[in-house]
Amino acid sequence: MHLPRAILHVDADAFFAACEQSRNPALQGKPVITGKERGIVASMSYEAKARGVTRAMRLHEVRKLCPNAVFLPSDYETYSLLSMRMFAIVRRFTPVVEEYSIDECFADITGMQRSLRGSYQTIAERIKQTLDRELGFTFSLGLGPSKVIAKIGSKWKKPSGLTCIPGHDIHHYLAELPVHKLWGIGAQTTAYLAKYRIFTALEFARKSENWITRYLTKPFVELWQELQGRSLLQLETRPKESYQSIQKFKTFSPPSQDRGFVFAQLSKNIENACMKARRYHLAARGATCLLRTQDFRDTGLEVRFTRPTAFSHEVIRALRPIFDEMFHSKYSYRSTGIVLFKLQSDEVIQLTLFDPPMQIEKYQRVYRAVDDLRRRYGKHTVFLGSSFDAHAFTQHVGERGDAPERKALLLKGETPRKRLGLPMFLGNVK
Amino acid sequence: MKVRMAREDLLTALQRVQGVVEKRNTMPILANILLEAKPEGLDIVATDLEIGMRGLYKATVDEPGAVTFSARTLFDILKEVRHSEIEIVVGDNNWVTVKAGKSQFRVVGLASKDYPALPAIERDGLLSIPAQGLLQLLKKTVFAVGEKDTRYVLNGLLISLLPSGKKVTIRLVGTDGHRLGWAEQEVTPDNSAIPSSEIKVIIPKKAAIEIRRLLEEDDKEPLLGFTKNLLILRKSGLVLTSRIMEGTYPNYQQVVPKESSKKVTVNKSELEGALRRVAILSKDKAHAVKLSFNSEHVHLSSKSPDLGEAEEEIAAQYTGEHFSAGFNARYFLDVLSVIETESLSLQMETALSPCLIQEQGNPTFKAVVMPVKV
Repeated sequence: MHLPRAILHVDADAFFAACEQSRNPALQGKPVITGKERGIVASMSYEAKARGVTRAMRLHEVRKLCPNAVFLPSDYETYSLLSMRMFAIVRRFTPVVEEYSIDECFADITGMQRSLRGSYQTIAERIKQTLDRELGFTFSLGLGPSKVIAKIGSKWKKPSGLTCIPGHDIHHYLAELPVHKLWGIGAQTTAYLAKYRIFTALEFARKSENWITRYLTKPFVELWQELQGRSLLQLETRPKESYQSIQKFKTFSPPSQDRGFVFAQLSKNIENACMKARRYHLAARGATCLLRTQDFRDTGLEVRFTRPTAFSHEVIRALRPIFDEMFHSKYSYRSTGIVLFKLQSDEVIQLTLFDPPMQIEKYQRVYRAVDDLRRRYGKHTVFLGSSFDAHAFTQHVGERGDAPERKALLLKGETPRKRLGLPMFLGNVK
Repeated sequence: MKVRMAREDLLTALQRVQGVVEKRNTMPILANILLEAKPEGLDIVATDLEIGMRGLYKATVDEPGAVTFSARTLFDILKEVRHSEIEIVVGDNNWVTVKAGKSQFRVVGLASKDYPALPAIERDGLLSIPAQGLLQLLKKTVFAVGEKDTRYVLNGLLISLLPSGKKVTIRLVGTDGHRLGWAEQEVTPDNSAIPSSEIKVIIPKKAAIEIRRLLEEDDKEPLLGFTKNLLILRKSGLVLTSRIMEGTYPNYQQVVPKESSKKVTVNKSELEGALRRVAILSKDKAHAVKLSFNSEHVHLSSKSPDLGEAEEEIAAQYTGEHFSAGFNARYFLDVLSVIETESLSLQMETALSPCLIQEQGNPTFKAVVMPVKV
């Protein structure tokens, strides 16, 4: 017997803006926009959305549309803590939770009716109420027999909706849904499907399995199966343990023509990327260095390392020559980035013929100490001299450089963490 | 220009230059070959600016001249046509007509003056020594040469000529920093061809591979020579030149371990087979396989958290104390593939020091593989 599954998709409404509003009651009901430091809208509250503000809009355009908008710099620490709270609440109901992104998760509640004393719909309602009440902002939920259907459900009624799509009703929803709104179908596939006169999700779902396997690739075959109400995509409940590549990009303003300063920005990104690689016990066999000029021209070059490494100073040393090749002082640069690729476990170390034999072990000890200091006292407690200029100045000068309010005007001995101000915060956040 | 020649000969010539003509589109003309018809035959030239190859082939030259056109196109034509004689005629605007029996092709050509000139071989300072056995040396070292390594010189093969009395030792060394191949041999050239002092040059890996290919064709004796910045190899009417890479080769002698007390003797094919099998379950990128040495056998094992574990034991002669070390199976197998004797020896001091691999009773070949730390 194949038991139909009950998958729930939970999606926070205007998450970053909602986090800000929930922590500061004075912002409730006002058009709130986050992303001030990037100069573009990262997230906007429903009040701002109603005025026509969209994501990635430039802030001066927002001002024209919505003169009383409140602009806030992003405070990712708060958002991620609230995100963890959100997942913790859902986990009270079921252990099978996939943290899909900072503001979205999937939960499998198949067979939980008896233990939770209620139908699937009642359970979903209870999860929604608990989330809304405890976090102080609203969520949209979708319930369906597969992940794809659940995701359609949560998008169906926003904000603060709960849409249950039982197997026998799927076609009603799909008939109204344009195919590009489906999870995993982008502009390319939309255009391709249009050639076969497929415009709605229902037209896609009604194609025969033969047709789908013949004309499309595996991910779309899975999507098609899921649209039939057959759950195929498993919930990934374990936290991410491995990466194919690690990227760190950072914009700074004003743009700079200063070689030393731009390199310091790159160096800081390298340190952050290497720190992340070490946290996951990974070492990279190569890296790409990226520079973006003020007029959005990108240049990138790639290097291979002599052995896999996640030691910042080795990566910096390997990238210095290609940075010098790429950097032209006639351009102003606005952002730098680094991609560490070909990652592999750092537990197996290939020794080399020409490096001093104990060197790797020495570096390992140094970086273990550095990582320990950072864990205890904050991410930028110790850093390499080459990153100094990037730490000595704020990332952005002027209005964009404003720090979140909790980081400014601290009392003596107070840390920004003490001002996180999570609403109704009772338990421990790991 | 008008020449007639046997399809066989032309095909051989084209096969030889396939590795030299540039496949990446850096300079379109480098995908061409240069044909020069002279009274004594047809000269076929290819270069990628680093390596150059010039060969004189038997042909009936009705009208001398020169032209350059796509090597790929001519090669593809020759593969398909069956007629034994090929005629190449150059018409107006460098149009090249290739005739083979009833087939006729008109191919776009360019004036020969557009083709980059091969480096002129300076006559003085040129020293040629016989290089029989060079093929063996190349086979035993090229596998270890680096590929796209940031330490540029490691992408090249080191060739040393070490004179001592009436003899000269030719020594080839290749390494990518993780493993190393070292092979040498003594030759007795004419007195005039003995270099007065040691010669050390680094040639690109591609050149080494091309030389290996030429030597594999037949066992006619090649001549090897050097000028200030060129390597020259002559063999049966063919001249291959390669630019010599600049830079200092790392001190390889220092990293090759001397005789060690921990010496294991094993059968080559047994070790090779066992490594291949055990490596199946070490699918991480380092291909780590653990080798444990006991008094009478070597125990190989691997494990991967996602896949499982594998182990195997093979007979060995070993007298030292028990110890074990991890290796990248791929590096080890590369070495085993060039070993020609039935049994071989492994020597290493500690689990973290380089491992010396040698053929039984052959001190002229040394391979070194660095262990992995697991």
